[in-house]
Formats: sequence, C-alpha cells, structure tokens
Amino acid sequence: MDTKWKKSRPAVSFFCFVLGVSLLVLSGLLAGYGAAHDYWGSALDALKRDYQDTAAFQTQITDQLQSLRQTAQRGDWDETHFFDGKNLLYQVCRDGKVLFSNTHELSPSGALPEGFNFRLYFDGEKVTVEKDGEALDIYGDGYYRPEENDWFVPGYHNLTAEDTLYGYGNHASTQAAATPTPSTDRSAAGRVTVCIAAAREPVYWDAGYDPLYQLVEGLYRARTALSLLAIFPIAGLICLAVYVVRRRDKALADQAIASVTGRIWLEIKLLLLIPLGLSIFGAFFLCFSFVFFGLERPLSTYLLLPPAALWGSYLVVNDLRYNGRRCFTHNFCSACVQLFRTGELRYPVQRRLARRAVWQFVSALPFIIAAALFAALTLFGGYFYYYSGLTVLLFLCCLGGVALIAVQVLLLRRSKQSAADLGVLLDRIDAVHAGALDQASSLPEDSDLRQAAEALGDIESGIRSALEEQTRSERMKVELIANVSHDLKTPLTSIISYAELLSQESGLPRHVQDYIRILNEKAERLKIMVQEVFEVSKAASGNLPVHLETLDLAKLLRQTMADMAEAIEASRLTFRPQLPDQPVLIQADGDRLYRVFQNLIQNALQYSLDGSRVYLSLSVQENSAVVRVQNTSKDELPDGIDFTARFVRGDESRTDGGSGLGLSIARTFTEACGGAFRVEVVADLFAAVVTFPLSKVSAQEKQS
Amino acid sequence: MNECVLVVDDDREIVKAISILLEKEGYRVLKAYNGMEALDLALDPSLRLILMDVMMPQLDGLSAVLKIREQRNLPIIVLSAKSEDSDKILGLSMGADDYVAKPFHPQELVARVRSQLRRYTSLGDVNAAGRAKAVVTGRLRYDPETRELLADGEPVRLTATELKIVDLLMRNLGRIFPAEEIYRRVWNEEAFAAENTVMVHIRRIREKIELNTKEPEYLKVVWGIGYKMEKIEARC
Repeated sequence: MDTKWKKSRPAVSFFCFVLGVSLLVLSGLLAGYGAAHDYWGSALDALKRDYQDTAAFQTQITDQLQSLRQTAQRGDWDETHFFDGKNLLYQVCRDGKVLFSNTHELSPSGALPEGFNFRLYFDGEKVTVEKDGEALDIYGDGYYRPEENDWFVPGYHNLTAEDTLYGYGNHASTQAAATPTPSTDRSAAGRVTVCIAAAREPVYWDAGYDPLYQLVEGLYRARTALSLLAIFPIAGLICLAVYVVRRRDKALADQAIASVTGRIWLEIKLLLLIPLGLSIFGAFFLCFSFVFFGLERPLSTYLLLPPAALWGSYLVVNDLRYNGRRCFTHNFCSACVQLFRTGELRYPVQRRLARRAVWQFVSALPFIIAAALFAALTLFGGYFYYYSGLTVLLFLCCLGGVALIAVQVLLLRRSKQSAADLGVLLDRIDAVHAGALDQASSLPEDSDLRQAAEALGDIESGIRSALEEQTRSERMKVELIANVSHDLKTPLTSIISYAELLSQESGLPRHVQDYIRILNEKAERLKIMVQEVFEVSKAASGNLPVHLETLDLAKLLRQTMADMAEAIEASRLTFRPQLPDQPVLIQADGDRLYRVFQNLIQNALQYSLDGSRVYLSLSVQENSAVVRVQNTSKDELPDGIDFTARFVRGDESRTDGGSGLGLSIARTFTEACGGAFRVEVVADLFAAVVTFPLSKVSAQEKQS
Repeated sequence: MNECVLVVDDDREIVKAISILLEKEGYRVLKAYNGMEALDLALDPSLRLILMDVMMPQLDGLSAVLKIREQRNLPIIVLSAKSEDSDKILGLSMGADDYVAKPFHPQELVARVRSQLRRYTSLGDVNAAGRAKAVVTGRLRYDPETRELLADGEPVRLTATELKIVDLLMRNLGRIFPAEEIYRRVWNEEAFAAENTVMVHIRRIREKIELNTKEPEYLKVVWGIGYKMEKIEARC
C-alpha cells in the first residue's frame, strides 16, 4: 500500500497542479464574465434569501407601478395588455372604481390572497408597502437619493409625481396631455390608485411574460454562478497548495512526461507546433469573446480549445526544460544516420570505406541524372525554350555534371586504394596480435597509412625485444636457483655425514642419541626441500624434461598405493580406493605422475584427521580421466587461499611436516604432463582433483 | 680388507667425514683436495678405488678421471652436487663407474664402495666358459641354469617366489611386465590385487639387491605399465 501510494504521488501532484490551474483560469474567466456583465454589482443581492428583499425586486415593482400609472394616464388599456396574475396581481382604480385588473381578489387593505405576502398601494399621492402583514418604511427621511433608496415612487419630498411617472427629469419627454401636478396623479377623470401584490414564492406558469418568476430564476442563476465562483478559486488554490507542497513529486511526473515526449522526433514536434500556435490564438480569442459576449460558440469548443492550448504549451516548455538539446538532436535525420551506421558495422573496415565511397557517388547520381534529363527535355522538348542564354546555362550545367562525375570517380578510386592499404595494415595488426612479430612493411611510399605502418613496425620490434628480455630473465632465474641449490648441497652433505657419524657413536646417553636422531631427521628434511625447490623452479620455467608415453592411470594409482603400503598401513587412516578394473589410458610421464600422487597421498597421510577416511577415486567423465584424492583435514582449512601456490601451508603456524611445495610440485608436474590440477576445499574436506584427457591409443598398440 | 681408497674433494670436512666412515669399515683412506693431488696419489699401486668430487680448483674431477683412466683401470665413483641426468651421463661417459649425488646417504656411499670393490676383485674370478649364458646387468649376475643370482659376486639368498620373479625379469632383461602377468606366471592363477602382492615381493628383493632401496637402480617400476629389471651396461 505504501509503495503504491509512493508510486502514484507524482501523478497525484501533477493532477493537482493541472486541476488547480484549470480551476483558477476558469474562475478568472467567470469573474471576467461577471464583471463584464455587471453581475457583481448585484452580487450581494443574489445572496438574499427572500427575493423580495433584493433591489431587483424593488426595481421591478416600481417599474410595474410606473407602467400601470402610464397606462392609466393614457387610457389605452385593453385585454391584450393584461396578464393573468399568478405571481403578480394588480388593480388600478379611479375614484374608487376599478379601471383594470388581473384579479378579483385584490384590495388595498385587508387580507391578501393565498400565497401572496407583499402589497404596494399607491393612493394617488404616496405609496404604502406592506410585507408579511407589516408596513415597510420606504421613505426614510423623506428625500430620495438614488444610491440609497430603490423605491422610485412618488411621495418623496424631492420627487414629483411627474418624475416618477416618466422618469427623473424627463418632464420634457412626456406625452401626457395632462398638465403636471405637483403630487397627485390626476387625470381628467379623477384620482388614480394602484394596488400591486407579489407572491411569496413565484412559480412557473407557461403564459409568456412573467417578470417575477424570471427575476427569481435570474437570482437563482446568479446564486449558482456565485457559489461556483466561490468554490472554484478555493478548490483551485487548495490544489495548487498541494502541488506546491509536493513540488518534487510533480517534478518526477514532469520528468516522466518529458522522457515520453523526448522520444518523439523533432520533425513531428515542429509539425504539431503549427496547430498549437493556432489553438493558442483561438483560445485567447475565445476567452475574450466569452468574457464579453458569453457563450457564443458551442460549449465543446470552449471546453476543448483553451485546455488544449494551455497544456500543449505546457508540454512544450516541459519538454524543452528536461530534454534540452536532445529535443533538437533527436529527429528523423539522425535516426536515419544511426540506422546507416549500424548497418555499416556489419562489414569489416576496408569494405566500409569502399561502401561509403560508393554511397557518395550514388548520392550525387540522382542530381546528375535529373540535370541531364532536364537538359535533354529542354533541348529536344520545347522550341520556345530555345533562348540562347538558357542553352549556355544548360551546357554549363552538363559540363558541371560531367566534372562532378569525374571527380567522384577519382575520389572513389583513391579511397579504394586507401581502403586496401588499411586492410593490409589491419591484417598485420592481427598477425602481431596472434604472435607473428616479424612482418615486413609492405605499403608503398605514397600510401596514406605509411606512417602508421612504420609505427606498427616499431611496436613489433619493441614486443620482440621485450619477449627476448623475458626469456633471458627466466633463464637467469633458473640458473640462479640451480647455483643456489648447488651451494646449499655442499654444507648439507657435511651435516648429513657428520650426523651419521654421530649416530654411529656408542655409549652416548639416551638424550644425546635423541638429539642426534633429530639432527638426522631435519637434515634429511632439508635435503628433500632443496631438491624440491630446484625441481619446482625447473618445472615452472618449463625446463623439466618430460617423456610422454601411454600408460594406464588405474595401474599407476594401484602401483603408487602399493608402493606406499607401509606408510598407509602405519597411519591411523582408512584408505578407500575406487579404481576401475579396466585400463584408463592417458599420455603422461610416469615418473612425474608417480611423484604427483605420491605427494597427494603423502599430504593425506600427514594432514588427515586421525581415524578418518581417505578416498582415492578414478573415474572417466566425458573423455577425461578424473582422479580425486579426498580427505578430512586435521586442522581447520582457511578460506580463499590457493594451496597450490608455493610455500603455502594449510596452517601458517605449523612447523612440522611439509615444506609447502608439495602441492605446487604436484600441480606443476601435472600441468607439464598435459593435465589439469585443482584443489577443492569445502569446510573440512580437502580434495585434490587431477584431470587428464584420455589417450586415443588403443590397448593393442600399447603392448608394443 | 685393508684396501686403499682415495677420497678427493675440495671440502676438507667432507673428506674427513668420508674417511672416518670408510676407516670404520676397515679401509685405508688417502686424501686429496684437488685434481692435481689426485693425479699424484692415483699412481699408488695399492689403491683400489677413487671417490672423486667434480667441482674442484686447479683440475676438476672429470678431467682428472679422464687422465687417470689413461693409466689405471680401478673403479671411480664420482661425487657431485649436480644431480641432473645430463651430469650423470657425462660423468659416466668420462670414465666413472658410478655417480653419487650430494648430499648422499653415508651408508649408501659405503655400500657402493663395497659393491664396486667386490665387483672389481671378483671380476677376475669369472670363468668365461662356464658363465657364458649368464645374464649380467651392472653388478647383478644371474645364471638361468643354476638359478643363482650374484650381486657384486656375492650370492643373494632369495625365497622361491622371489627367485621366480627375478628369473622372469632377468631372462627378459629390460622388458616391462605388468603386475598381472608376473602374478600369473609366478602363482599360476589369475590376478587378484596383483599390485599389492607383487609390490611386497619386489620390495623384499630390492632390500636384498639394491644399494639404496629408496632409489632402486635395477628393479624398477615403470609407472602405469609394470615392472622391469634395468639393463645396465658395465664399463668396458
């Protein structure tokens, strides 16, 4: 759950960013629209619960009053003017007699009809307003100020009935025949009174013009818009806040997007830029038109175009930011070049050069052919092209084409020659790599690669002298060891001889005899060590004479075990030999191989855990003979050391027993005979494994 | 006894040690410390054997051997720190009868001295006619008719089985026999664990005929194939 959340964090952050920006932009547009259409002036109005408290309502009622009075003045009412009142009732009287009305139930005072809670009564001089049974004071201090009062009705000290009838200051434009009277509405026939009632909750009824219901609807719409306008920015800000907090996650999302867009070729991106640019223009235009003119086009264009423009630009910027130069280098042309290069690699170097030269020629060919065709067409195709200037131009073109062909052929030949030289040089390098160090330089004097060839020759002679130096030093090493071991043998001879003489003395006390015995033993050991060192150095430098012959490995192992039977018997170990009865023929030097296995068995005898078993097995596996001498070590075997390295002992602190050369000799002798030697150590088990390839010689041939 | 032996070596201590060893065996020892001295002393008529070191100042051992050989025929054992096969062949071809590498087992050296001396003296006893059919290899001499083995002229006491083995190997001097075949011929039955049985007997034979059982010169193992009796040519 945690990693899933972690993985989706960048996506969430990015989404918040997108949503936040979109919401804020939308809010901006709505606000702009509202401002352009002057919603916000009456914003507060929309929030009023009761529509009758709104300024719009007041304006509506006063307009109605005005219109009714005008109609009464003019006297031109008829049935078509009236509208059936469901939400708005009115009654116009003169001198107490009803002139026209849309209801029978309305009276200036008394109870209002069912569902109505608002009444305005104009008695000819002033207006009384009653809402929910209570009178409303609309006059205030008696003076009308447009910014404070919305009741543009007669009864103010500074408004005449005339003003309220035809508009403030509109005396001149009145068409009324009646003479202006200060405060009363008198027509020739008498005093006009109007009574208007409004419903508590206007309902919709399908009779066309219904001002109150429309008013309420309008308020409702404005309220929706307002709430949206409240929500959108807040939501947008929240989203942006989330984005800001998780900025790094969004950066991850950005990078992921950039890596996807980075794979697109530059050409495609450039092609897409054109519609993007157009859409940006279109989006600006759309927004502009929306703000000032509202939804003119179908809604889908508004929903698609601006986001496309906005987020398209965002992708472009993101791509540039994270991919930088790669935007421009990753294109169709470079992909073609890459394809060409990888195709080239299939060929060796000299062929590659030759191919390139051919491509060079071939690529110029279309141009040449087109030019020739054009020339031919114009020369033979149309007489009206036969202007002297054009002919000369064409002729020059042909010349140019021929020259181009000639140059190409020359260059082609030259680079073919270079390719061939390069081939020769590369072959020589291969030869040096394989070991042949004395090739003569065989490139002609004017070859491009002459210098390289000479340098190669220098390298060859350098390698040669290094090799000679190495063989010389190897030989010196062997001679040194030989001389040293000879020098060691002389005093050793004395030691052994005198130790022997000592042991022949009689009458010596017991402990002295012990000392002499030890002297003898150690001197003997020293002698063996000197011998071994000499042998190892000879074998390691390849100076060991090895006489290979066909022998039976099984027999050799049996002979070796028989040879060491006494020592094996004397030890407290049990030997478990597993040797096949049939012969296992290999090519090896018998004496050396005997030494190898003698060493291994000696090792096993010396270093095995008391009472444990030693396993000696010979098996044939896949054309090889594998001998395995395995024992349980007496002491702990350290990890990771190469036991066959010279002077390596299992336990570094041991001072008795072998010289550390036994395994080294075993390995060297094995390898000198053409076999493989390895040591496997697993916990306390020590196994020496000797492998030889089987000899192809049959038994019959062996007998001779 | 009381034969005279010349010991030549530039290392005085070694000469002294060898002299003590040989004197204990009852030989009379002459000492020399370089080739020139050796030449002088070699003319002593009572000298029976020379032990010569190779690396010496003034005149090295092998040249001395050559020089001495011009005049005398006594057995010469060459001592040397160089133990390569090539050195051994060189020494023997220069006229030495034996080549002992340093450091040597003192007992082995004494045994070889004894062997050479015996051979030299007993060689004179050889009856050419009677022993014409005998097989000779180095210091060993085997008569197939009398079934008698002589080492340095001394008869060797072998058990019946040992004799059968020696008979087989000496009749076919230099030929390699696998253990199974030896077993079959000697015990007249198919081999079972032939190697061990045969090796036991061979070890015993070696103890009787070899100067150094750990480095046998005559009864050799050809590893991976079998056993043989080495054919060693005596010096002419």
